[in-house]
Amino acid sequence: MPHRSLSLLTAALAAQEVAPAALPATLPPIEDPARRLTELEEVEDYSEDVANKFVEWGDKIRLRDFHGAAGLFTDDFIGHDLARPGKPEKKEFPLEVTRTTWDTKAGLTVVNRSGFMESWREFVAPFGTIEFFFVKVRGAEFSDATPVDGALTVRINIVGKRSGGGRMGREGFGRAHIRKIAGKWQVDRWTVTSLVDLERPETMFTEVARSAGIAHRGPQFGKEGNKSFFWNGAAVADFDQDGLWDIFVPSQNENFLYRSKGDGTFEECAARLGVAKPAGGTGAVFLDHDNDGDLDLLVAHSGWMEDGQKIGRPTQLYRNDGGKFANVSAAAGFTELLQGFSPCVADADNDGDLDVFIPGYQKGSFAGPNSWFDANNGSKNAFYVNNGDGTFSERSAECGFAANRWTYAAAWHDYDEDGDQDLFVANDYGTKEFWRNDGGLKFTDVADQLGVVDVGNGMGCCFGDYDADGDIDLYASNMSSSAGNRILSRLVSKESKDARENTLKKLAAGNTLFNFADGKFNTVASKFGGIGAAWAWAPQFLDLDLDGDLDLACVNGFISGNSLKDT
Amino acid sequence: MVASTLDARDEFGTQKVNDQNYTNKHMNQIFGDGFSFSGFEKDKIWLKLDDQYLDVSDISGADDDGDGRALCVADFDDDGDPEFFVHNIQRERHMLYRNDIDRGARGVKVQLKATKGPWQAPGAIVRVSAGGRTTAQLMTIGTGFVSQNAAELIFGLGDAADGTVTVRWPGRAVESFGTVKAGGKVLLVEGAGKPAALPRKPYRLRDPGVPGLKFAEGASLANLELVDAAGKTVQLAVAGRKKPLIVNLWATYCASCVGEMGDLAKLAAAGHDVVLVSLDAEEDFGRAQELLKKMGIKLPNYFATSKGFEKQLDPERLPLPTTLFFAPDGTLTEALQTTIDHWNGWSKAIGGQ
Repeated sequence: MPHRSLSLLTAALAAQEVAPAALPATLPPIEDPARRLTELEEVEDYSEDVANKFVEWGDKIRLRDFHGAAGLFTDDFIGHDLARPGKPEKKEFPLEVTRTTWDTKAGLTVVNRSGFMESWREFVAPFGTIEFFFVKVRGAEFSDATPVDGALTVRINIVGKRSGGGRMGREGFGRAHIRKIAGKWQVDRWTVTSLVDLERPETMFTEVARSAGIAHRGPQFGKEGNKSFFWNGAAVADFDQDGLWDIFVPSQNENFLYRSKGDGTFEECAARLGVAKPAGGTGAVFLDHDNDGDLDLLVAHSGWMEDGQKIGRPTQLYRNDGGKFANVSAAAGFTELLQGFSPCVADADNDGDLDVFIPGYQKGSFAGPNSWFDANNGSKNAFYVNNGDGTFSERSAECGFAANRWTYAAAWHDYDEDGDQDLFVANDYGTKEFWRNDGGLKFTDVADQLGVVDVGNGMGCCFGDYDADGDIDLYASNMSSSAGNRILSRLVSKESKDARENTLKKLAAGNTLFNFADGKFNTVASKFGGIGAAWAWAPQFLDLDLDGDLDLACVNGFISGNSLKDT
Repeated sequence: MVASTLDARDEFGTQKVNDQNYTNKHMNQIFGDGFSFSGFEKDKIWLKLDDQYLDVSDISGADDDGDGRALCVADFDDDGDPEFFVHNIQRERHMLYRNDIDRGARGVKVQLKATKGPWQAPGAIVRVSAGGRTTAQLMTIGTGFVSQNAAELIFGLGDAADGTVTVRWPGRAVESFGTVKAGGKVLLVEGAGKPAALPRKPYRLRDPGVPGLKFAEGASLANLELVDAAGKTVQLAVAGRKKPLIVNLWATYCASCVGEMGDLAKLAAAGHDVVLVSLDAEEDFGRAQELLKKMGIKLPNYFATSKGFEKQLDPERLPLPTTLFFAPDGTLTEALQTTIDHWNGWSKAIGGQ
């Protein structure tokens, strides 16, 4: 172990610190200021400012620059020794996963600044590589005084490779007291509230895109060549029917079609096979639209009219003609400009061919949603009914499907097992829909009766049997945000019974898991887990350890810029 | 071809979607300037236990903090368990996660072919009963968000030897297909009443390059540009040596590194050329030397600096300790990214000490 007697700081600086003999035996909890600043905007400004300061500091710890990291703390700083965070309680889970929960009530010691930095050095020592060091201000209250001071709740998450092999994550919460001294935020107290470690002697997954030959590095978002908010998706299918899974990836400037070579590598053949252009598509699906036995490719796109000009394009359909693809979009009836995202396909009218629902999001010339929880200025959800001759007719209006929601995703499932496919629709900025198929292209929204209204920022959805009881349950990804939760927790009390207030809180709450039972989808209590993603996008059920239980994966994050600084 | 103005048209005669309106232009400006908005959020993996979804993202190796949008599940390498592909919006965009949990033949893989409706059978519900319970999965064409999964449902059987399979064909009756043995990969054809075995086509999804090294195993290096404790630049010869060279990359902040110094000294005592290269920051050179002295480690110790050897490393991705084995001609024969006692040649190298 690194020994602890060496001071990290210069002797001159260390001399001004609290002498070890003068350190108290215990630290009282850090309380919120007695006279609190209540002006929300000002509090948020301070919170953001402080949060960014912590991000800069966290990056120093990640790079193990403890000298630099010491600068956040005052000379008279005292805090808990992180290297001895109480009493460990170990719990073993399947797959050799070990969780250590530290009982921080048991025997925390107090150190000065040098001791604290030394304890940070030890705290991150189990990591051979720190892949991720995340520090987030989860709560902040500031005083009404000048100079201002404040009490913060800070979450720290460290993830990386254990130096002895395998992987480890440490997640802890602490309280910090911060002062603004000569225009500079400095921390003078730090207490440890909780700490949980998760470990496994081996990794579960290895990212292999580069060795498989499918890695692709694109420009930063917002830069030339990557400016569209019409997010590109992906589709996996065996398009050439050789028994190997291939991948189609719509992209900003040219699409990718990765054909599996069967040796662990893929051949990019989009241009050769005729699907490289047009680019800019969102969701894509391989489907046999003409029932000829091979897989055709449909790609949703965005487009609209602006000042008499056509921008973007309609849905694209590529017909598989003996291995090469021919663009037959217009001939097949795909001429309308939509704001299409995630196509989902079923034989909705039970006539033996595949019909395509394409959710539509914002209007082309939008100015933002007209409500955060009930927006009705979105665009049309299109429903292409297959005519049986390789062409489609758009018949959403007669089905009653909404034409003004902000819809990113939907999914077909015959929940009532009456023989026809019903449709769940996840909407952003609003409630969800569940369209019961009444036959004859008549649908009725029964979201309320089924219990899936789930107001929020609906981003994605998938069906699967999460509790292995033989019926199909539902999972919806919703956006949640730290800043949102921080602001709302200040505006809305935990005990609030006000429906509108609680709607607001629900908006930032995260994903929802529904258990199908007694003909309804019942919201599973959030303590069951699988809920707190973040700004969530595609969710999927998958049994990653083949134990018979469906695990969950969900991708997250809106836009990462140049630094971890965030709102 | 990149369009940057509203007048730009592509070969299809329509305007590109870029810069489509004021709001997006404004947002592009913000993000183009490097602003983050709910950025660096890690992808999530939850392990289903009896009473909860346990968040194992931190230890999954699939917790990338890129901005993911699509996630598609498929058993790409046909070894029986699911991999997944992720599409991010920027930087490293295409991610393929190989499943390394490796629980062997504990599952059943099911593909469908309907005969009385569209053959892809979206909406079909497949149920597999094993070990006293029944799990259902849905065949889909498009699920999640802008994603399509492979048309193969993967059912874990746990410790059961086989599973009983039924299919509820969309709009039609439930058909029983009997049992499928663990490790089975089958095609269920509507009306056939029994499964048809599908051929396996397994392949190896190879490991990526050595994390943290900008040179691969098999590459040849002439020398390493290092700095000694006095701050003097040293060219440590790698090629043209009489014996193989063992270079241990370490740092004072790495507990395992410090802990294995005795083992490295043992290796040197057994007659091997062992050299230490510290990755500590310049302010910690003294600390590193002092620590070695205190521990009685007499191995030669150098430092990697940003002007020299560090240029050949990606320090943020380099796990410590990493030990490099160079052949006398300078070829990197192995990069060991754990402690030296895990090295295959360990007991032989120390002569059974």
